[in-house]
Amino acid sequence: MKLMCYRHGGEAALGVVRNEVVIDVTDATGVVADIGSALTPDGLSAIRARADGAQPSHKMDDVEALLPLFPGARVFCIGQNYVGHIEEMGYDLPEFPSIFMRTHASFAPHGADIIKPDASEQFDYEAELTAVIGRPARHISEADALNYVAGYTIMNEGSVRDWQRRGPQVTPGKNFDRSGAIGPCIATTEDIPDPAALTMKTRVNGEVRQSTRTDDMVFAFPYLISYISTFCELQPGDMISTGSPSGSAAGFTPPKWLVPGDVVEMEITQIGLVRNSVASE
Amino acid sequence: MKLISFRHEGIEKYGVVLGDGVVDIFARLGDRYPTLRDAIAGLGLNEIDRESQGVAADYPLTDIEYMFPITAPDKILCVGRNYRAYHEVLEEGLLKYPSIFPRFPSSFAAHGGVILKPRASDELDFEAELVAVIGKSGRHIPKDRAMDHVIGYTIMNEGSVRDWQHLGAQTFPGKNFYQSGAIGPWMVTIDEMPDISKVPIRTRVNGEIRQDGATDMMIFSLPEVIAHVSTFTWLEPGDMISTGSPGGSAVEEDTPRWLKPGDEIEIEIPPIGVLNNTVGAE
Repeated sequence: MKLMCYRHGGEAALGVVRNEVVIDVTDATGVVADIGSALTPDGLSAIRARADGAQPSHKMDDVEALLPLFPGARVFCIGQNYVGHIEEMGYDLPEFPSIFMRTHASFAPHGADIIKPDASEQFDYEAELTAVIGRPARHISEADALNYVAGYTIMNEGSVRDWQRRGPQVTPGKNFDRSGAIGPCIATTEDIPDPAALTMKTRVNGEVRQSTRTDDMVFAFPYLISYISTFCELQPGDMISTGSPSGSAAGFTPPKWLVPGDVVEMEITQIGLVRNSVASE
Repeated sequence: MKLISFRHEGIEKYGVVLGDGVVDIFARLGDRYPTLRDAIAGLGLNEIDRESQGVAADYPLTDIEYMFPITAPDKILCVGRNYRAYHEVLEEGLLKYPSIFPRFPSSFAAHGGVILKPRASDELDFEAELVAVIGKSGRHIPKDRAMDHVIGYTIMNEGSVRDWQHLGAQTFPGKNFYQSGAIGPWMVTIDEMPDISKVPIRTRVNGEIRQDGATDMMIFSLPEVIAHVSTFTWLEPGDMISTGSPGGSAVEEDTPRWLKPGDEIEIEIPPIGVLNNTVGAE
């Protein structure tokens, strides 16, 4: 099942996407804005029951995608996590994951513009497979970890490279306003039994820049969920993004930085495609 | 004005601290401003001031449960390694740009609450910090206008789990252990702290002074930090920016005296007050 947060006729809504149509399931859970409770096992059951045999409400092209984040949801990102990418950058494989967070404001939804900031010319893209949590998770073992995932989505973990190196923490370069994107759908886990068996691609203006299977990670979801749950309790709706493979703009000589007018498409099998145009600030 | 968020008989409220008591502003303005953050965002400060004039406190402070001054801030951003003495001890050198990292609200306890020494580490440390609370939203804020966006100050124990701070390339995990720090007890509006260039900051653990510094050792000033941060993100009413800690944390000692269950921590920043917490075991 694919879930989508969207707006239609001015109203925020939650939908199930099937074959390019959307079934409005907002009333299934009674909590429109809260994709977090929708993602709990009870929420997903209610949504499945509501969507079963229901008529389509809208064509997917007729709705405006919203970020699949509820207020308070946290977005954990992992840096330098693809073996191929780390070798390309000439780094050693890390012993522990590099974890940072992004604010909601640093993302645009599918279909909206992402913003090249005035403060930098080094605007880059990073396609990432992102897990969305479905149950509160603290001190979880690796063996049990995937049971806490409700589904998966796509992130453009858009980065401003020079600002990423201003100070020892990457927070500024990873949090420019609307520099990244998430969405449009969350594909629930029954459709994706093995998140390491997916294929992920980035195209910029139609040119393939990143292409990988999702099995090339140093730290996979079970380890990351276990690790993060050691220091805080993951909540339904929280996201964990797993880093990007080789092929980002910074990896080219000269770098192929994003410029206004570029169209960035990221596609992950079984999940979908997130598309954004680049605009100037 | 000392602005406070609290629970009274289980209900979330906010108000103004008056002596040993609190004036319940929520009862007076709550229909328009359900939280202190809403009041700040709605430019309700003058109304709060008016409502608290010539009235007596509604409850003694001993009857309330403290909450963070802003109960659900959109962002809490911290500045690391921002005091001269601190970097001299650690010999890591001066930074060219401020070191900025975020903390989740869940990584803090409120005033009077229990700070948790995690199971995963024995290296829980304290860091006393002056925190600016944003009152007016803004992006691309120039240094000379930065203070227009600050509405007040509070106190943070930017409690850190030192080994986890250095496991990966980013300090984030060691700075975000569940209830490893604290914020409170209230915020003081900027009119009562017009000059923060030499504010004393002191930490006592079990009565012993462990940090004894002042903001005159700060490397990146608050206006510089606000200008830097607002280059990449919108600052919103209720956002908190913590300005770093002076020397004296356990990590700087030859044999670090890490915090352990039962320890009493008091962080004093005048004229705000004292942030008080006990350490418990996870």
